[in-house]
Amino acid sequence: MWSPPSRRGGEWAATWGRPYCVLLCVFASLRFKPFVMTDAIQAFLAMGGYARFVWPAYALAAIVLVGLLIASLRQLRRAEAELAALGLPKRERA
Amino acid sequence: MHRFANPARFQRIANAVLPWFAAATAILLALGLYFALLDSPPDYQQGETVRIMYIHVPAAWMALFIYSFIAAASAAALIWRHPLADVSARAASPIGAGFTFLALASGSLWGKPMWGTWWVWDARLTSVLILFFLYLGHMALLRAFDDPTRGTRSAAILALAGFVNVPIIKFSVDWWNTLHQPASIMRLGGPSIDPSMLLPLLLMAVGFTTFFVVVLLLRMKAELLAARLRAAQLARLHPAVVAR
Repeated sequence: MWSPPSRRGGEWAATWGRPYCVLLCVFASLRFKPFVMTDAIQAFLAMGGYARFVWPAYALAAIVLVGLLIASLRQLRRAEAELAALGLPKRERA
Repeated sequence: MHRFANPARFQRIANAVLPWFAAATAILLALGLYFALLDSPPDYQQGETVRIMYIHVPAAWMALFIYSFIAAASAAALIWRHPLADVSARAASPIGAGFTFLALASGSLWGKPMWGTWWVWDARLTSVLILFFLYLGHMALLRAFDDPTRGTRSAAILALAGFVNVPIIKFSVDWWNTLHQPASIMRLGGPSIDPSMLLPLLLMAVGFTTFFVVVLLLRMKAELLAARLRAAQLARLHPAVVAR
């Protein structure tokens, strides 16, 4: 049977009001709590206005160090694979 | 040192110490980054840009240290013909070039906000750029000859001749007028830097050093395997020559 919107709204509130409020509170806590934290995070990321100089320096350091490590590991793995292809062991006899 | 000349013994020792140095690197760099970024004060003049120092200064120290290491290894290779000296110099060269590039690039990123320019042709910056070219020359010479022995010997001579640049870099800030600040850690009278900044600086420096050891050992192992591979391939192609 058809009922006016206000009536339907009342039914909806009776059925879903409480979970909706709970979800709203969870959403608000998730939505606004990080806002409090982002002030500190944003200040940290801004580096006093020098972010475009400080972070590239750290990014370059990460790229150089990780790049050197990966290139060296790949060089070692390739040499081991080529030795294995020739049927030679990885280690020499002492 | 000749006790370690046996490649098999070297590999055994390298395999034993590698995990310890890798763990030390991870811990030292994690602690260093924590203190550098989160638990050290901004400089009263330079503000937050001082945090670039925790990358720039250890990278510059490593650039000098690794070149000195290559020069010493080259001398050992030329004078005593130590079998692992050549291998270690060859393995260290790209790592040194990487740290020198990092010192130059991070210095440029620090120079722009503090000096107002990315680069000046003064003694310290120019001599470090020459060091970078010496590393590139060393790497190029190692691969410039069909006979690896000739390349290794030429690169060793270049490394020894280029070592004159190391004291020039160290004392360039005292000998010539420069925008670069003088030494504040390794100087007579002790460090002039505050302990809260000295701690992350030293943690990063030791972390970079242990990182160098890890990558050096990995590269040396790869170089030794490549040498074995070359010998095995040569033996298959020319069994009579190798036997003779």
